[in-house]
Amino acid sequence: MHKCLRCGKKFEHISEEMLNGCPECGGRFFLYIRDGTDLSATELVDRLKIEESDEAISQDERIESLRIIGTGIYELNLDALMSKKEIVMGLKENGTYAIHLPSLFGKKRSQRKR
Amino acid sequence: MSTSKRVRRILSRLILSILFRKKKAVKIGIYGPPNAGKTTLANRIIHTFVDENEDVGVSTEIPHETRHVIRRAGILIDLKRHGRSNPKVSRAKLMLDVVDTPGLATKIDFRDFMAYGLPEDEAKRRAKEATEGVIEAIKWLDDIDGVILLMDSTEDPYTQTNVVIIGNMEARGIPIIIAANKIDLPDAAPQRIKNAFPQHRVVPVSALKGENMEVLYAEMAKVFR
Repeated sequence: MHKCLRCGKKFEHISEEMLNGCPECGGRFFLYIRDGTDLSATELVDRLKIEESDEAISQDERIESLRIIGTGIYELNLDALMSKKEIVMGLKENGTYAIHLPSLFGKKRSQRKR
Repeated sequence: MSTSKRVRRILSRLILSILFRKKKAVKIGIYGPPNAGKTTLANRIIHTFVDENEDVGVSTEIPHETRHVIRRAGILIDLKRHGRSNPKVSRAKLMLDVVDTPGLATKIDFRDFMAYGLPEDEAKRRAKEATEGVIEAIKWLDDIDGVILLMDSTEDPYTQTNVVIIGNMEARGIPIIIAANKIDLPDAAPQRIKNAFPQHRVVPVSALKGENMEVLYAEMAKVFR
């Protein structure tokens, strides 16, 4: 059985509608509940907070202008590349970063020229 | 030579240079997503105003064919001479440096190139060069006076790439003309681009067939002078 983490509605079977969100409230997080176990309302609220805060942090912490996912696969953050002078590279998705120093030093030189 | 003569010579040179200084060419960057037709447009401008046999780059159907910024300096857009003058445009001449740029994309994956028959090694090299090309194109924005943002009229214009480019150009105060390309194709819908970006002038064109180009040139003469 699955339970919507937003409205708490239980679903015996996964329907096609659920692939686009909860048919009742549109929530996208479902919890699988084994037979005979259930979660209290407070536990549900706690989980909801964790899910929401996780999402907020991941958005805010996207500092890299370029992410190298693998050889020949790159993800570019055009907004960061256009608005920031320095290039920060993210390696895979494990939180390792590389800072391209020439782009930083270039910025200082051009500022001095002005 | 006495000091007074030297000062007089310097002064006369200074006055002459002020009176007869050459107007600086306007640097125009052609930006847009991959396969929008940027190189085709750059070639079309050069064929019309410079030399019919000169090309800045090669256009193919494989995305990211242009992976380095190419600048063609000193293109005189003379609308009267080329019979393209428009009574609404008071200035028919414009000296341009055209900068053709690699396509801006948010994700570059070598597997997409392999679908076009490229071997894995070459596809990976192309992906690397294309990524470097995107960064190079963005760096050039610091040195650009105006942007022609080229979009494919057969594609959905409301993409992250287009929205980010337009937002950034507006923030930098760079004048921008949106050219809705490929209107010669049956499923082209330039109106969709007009609806998506109503705050900007959108000119429907076909860079390949040369359709409606005179309207784009007139708009360039008006906006980029």
